[in-house]
Amino acid sequence: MNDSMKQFMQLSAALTGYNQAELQATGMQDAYYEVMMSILGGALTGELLSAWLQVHKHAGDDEEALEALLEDKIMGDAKLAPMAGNLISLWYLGQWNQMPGPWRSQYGASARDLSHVVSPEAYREGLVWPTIGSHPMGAKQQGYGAWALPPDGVESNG
Amino acid sequence: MAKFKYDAVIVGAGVAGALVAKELTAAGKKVLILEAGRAMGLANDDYRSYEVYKSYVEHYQSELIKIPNSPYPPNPNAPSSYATDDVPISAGAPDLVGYEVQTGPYPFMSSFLRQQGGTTLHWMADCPRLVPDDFRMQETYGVARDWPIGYDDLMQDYAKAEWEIGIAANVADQTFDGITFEPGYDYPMERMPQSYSDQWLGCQIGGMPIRIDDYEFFPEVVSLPVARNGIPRGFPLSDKARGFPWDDDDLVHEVEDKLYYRPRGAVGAPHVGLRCEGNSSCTPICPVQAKYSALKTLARLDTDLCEIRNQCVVSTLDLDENGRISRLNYLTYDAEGLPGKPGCLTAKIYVLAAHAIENAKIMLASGVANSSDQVGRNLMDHPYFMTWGLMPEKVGAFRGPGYTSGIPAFRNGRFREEWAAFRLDVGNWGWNFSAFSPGSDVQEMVQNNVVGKTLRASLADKVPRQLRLGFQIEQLPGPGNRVTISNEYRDSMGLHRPIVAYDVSDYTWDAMLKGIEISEQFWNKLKVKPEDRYHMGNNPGDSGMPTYREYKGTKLAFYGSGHIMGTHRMGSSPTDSVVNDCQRSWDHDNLYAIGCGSQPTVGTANPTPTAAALSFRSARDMLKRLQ
Repeated sequence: MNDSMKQFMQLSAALTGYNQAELQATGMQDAYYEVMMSILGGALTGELLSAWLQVHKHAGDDEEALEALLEDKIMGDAKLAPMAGNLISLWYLGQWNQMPGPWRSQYGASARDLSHVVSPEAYREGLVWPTIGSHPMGAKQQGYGAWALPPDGVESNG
Repeated sequence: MAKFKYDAVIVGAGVAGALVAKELTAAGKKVLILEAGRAMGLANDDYRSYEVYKSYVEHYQSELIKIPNSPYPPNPNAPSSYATDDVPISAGAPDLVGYEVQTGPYPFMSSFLRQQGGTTLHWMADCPRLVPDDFRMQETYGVARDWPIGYDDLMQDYAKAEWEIGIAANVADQTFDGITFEPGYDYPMERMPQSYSDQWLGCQIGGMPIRIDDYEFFPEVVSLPVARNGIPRGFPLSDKARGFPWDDDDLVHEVEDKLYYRPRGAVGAPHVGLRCEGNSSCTPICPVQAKYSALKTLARLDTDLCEIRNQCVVSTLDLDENGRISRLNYLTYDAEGLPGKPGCLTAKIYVLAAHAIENAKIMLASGVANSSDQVGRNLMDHPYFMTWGLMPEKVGAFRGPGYTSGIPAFRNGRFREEWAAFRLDVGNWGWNFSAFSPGSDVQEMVQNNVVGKTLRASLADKVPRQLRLGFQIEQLPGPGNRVTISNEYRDSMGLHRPIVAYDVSDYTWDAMLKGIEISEQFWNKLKVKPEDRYHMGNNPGDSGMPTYREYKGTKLAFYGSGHIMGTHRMGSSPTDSVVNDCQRSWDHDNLYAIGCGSQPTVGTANPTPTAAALSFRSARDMLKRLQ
């Protein structure tokens, strides 16, 4: 894993709340890295990753501090926030959203910057589904009658 | 004398036509089915058709906006309607975005699919029967009109349809509002397990009195009949002699001392889909084909007697000097995007089974069957209104079939003199239909800079608490809601595009207001916070919806239910109906127009079981005439 990919995975873990092993288990890291690089290009992606290095350096292993810094330095930055937001969208939904209009006029409007689902696999690997105690609609089915059981974290009501 | 090669030609390879083909071929008749949609070999019962079907599942998964027709790419030679085509309509400026030319005032938002298998390729497969009063609205409530037949006339055909389609339900749950069953009858499979959220809701609100105006209701959360494979029900062996309700020995088999229904799996992969696996995507597509589609009936047709020709778009019917249909004209295309080549053929009888909008279009383009001036008129849907809320505890949203229960309490009663009845759905997919959850929840939280573990925890807390109610509301027939054609609007084959005019009367709008009242009483009981209650029309951006309206001081909007009905209604007189009680044209005795278009009124039942039952009735009439 090169440095850039390593930082990409660290940032992904921090933004999604899933650890790197869980992210790698989706098998989507190369595809999402490629989406970022092909739509945003190396320079902008590099800027996002550099900002992450700074955040990581300051927060260390303190999770609370990390999240606060992420919100401030990345999600609070007009240039970086839409990029980071799309990285979350990729992991949670397998979906890229076209960058906002003002962002496109200021930082560049790639012809590839179109809202789309990356692939059927990307949809199926969306983290939102396990997060909500469910499964991707149309895949990874839970089995006959599973829907009648109490959801995660709920005691049977008898 | 002309020499007929075919006893019957059926236009449209959907469920209504497939069932007629099944009945006619079972009696040894020769049948040709013409399907406008692409030849994908779906109805060929071999493994390739299963692979083709799976490619549609992947196409659906990769679509950004998941609408009912998402799995099926547009076909320029046989265009379908897409939910994303509907935009607000202003007077004098029709919506030309999609296949239908919509003149309003509201767009007709229900879509259909022109492809082998028809709209059962994307249906939800909810299969309730109409209630007896639905057949006699004028007699009972002084509104709309009566059918030429009653519930009892259709009871046995409902049973046949339920067995051929393969429905999971218990008779014991379904005996309400006058619905009756033949003694000893039951559905072929046991009811689907009710979802956790159904059970939760039922515990909380079951039997609580709901007062609306002077009417009192006692809602219960009741299992919904669905065309999804479940646990086959066992019947006493003695039923075999009786034969009813299966008229097809292949539908049952003996295991020890009982007869069991034999579920039908995927076309081309019969070991797949023998039971619903909880894919939570019935609409747009069941990945394992545990849900019925007409492909299952088509695949079992006797190929010595029945031929299915795809990519044949029927344009017109010709008349002979005796006023009978003498010829059918069509355009066939070798590949999508190529121009059509004309062809024609003859048969003893002609059966239009191309869905309510296409059936009307073909009759109008041909100038046939319309002495009553009712062809294309009385277009109806079940306008679909939704309320939703965030429950105080997890109900386990986004698991299982779209619906496993409903609340039938509002399907019938004296209130129908004043406002429309509705079938109340209890959704299993959170706010998916109403707010595009869970994708919208992710986007919204990210917009608000919620990231990391907090994002994960917030989603895990919120989404499983989502609950949505749907109101599938009756709409009365009206002459102004209609399909017409004009030479001005044509598709890429040069055939007419349907022009659709559509409005909704106060009878139906009033029911949306009642829906809000009922929901409020539920939410109060469930302790849903006021800021966590929603209804269509009342959210930021809703005023841009094409059906938005402020009505009696309340902001409302609705969708379609996908139930396209009424354009060639049946009746007891040729002066005010298009077909008779066997769906035969009053004007031409060798022409049938079948399917949901024949319904004079729509009640609150999803129409496919009724259309399927009517297919059995019509097939008997056809066989009499073919003797």
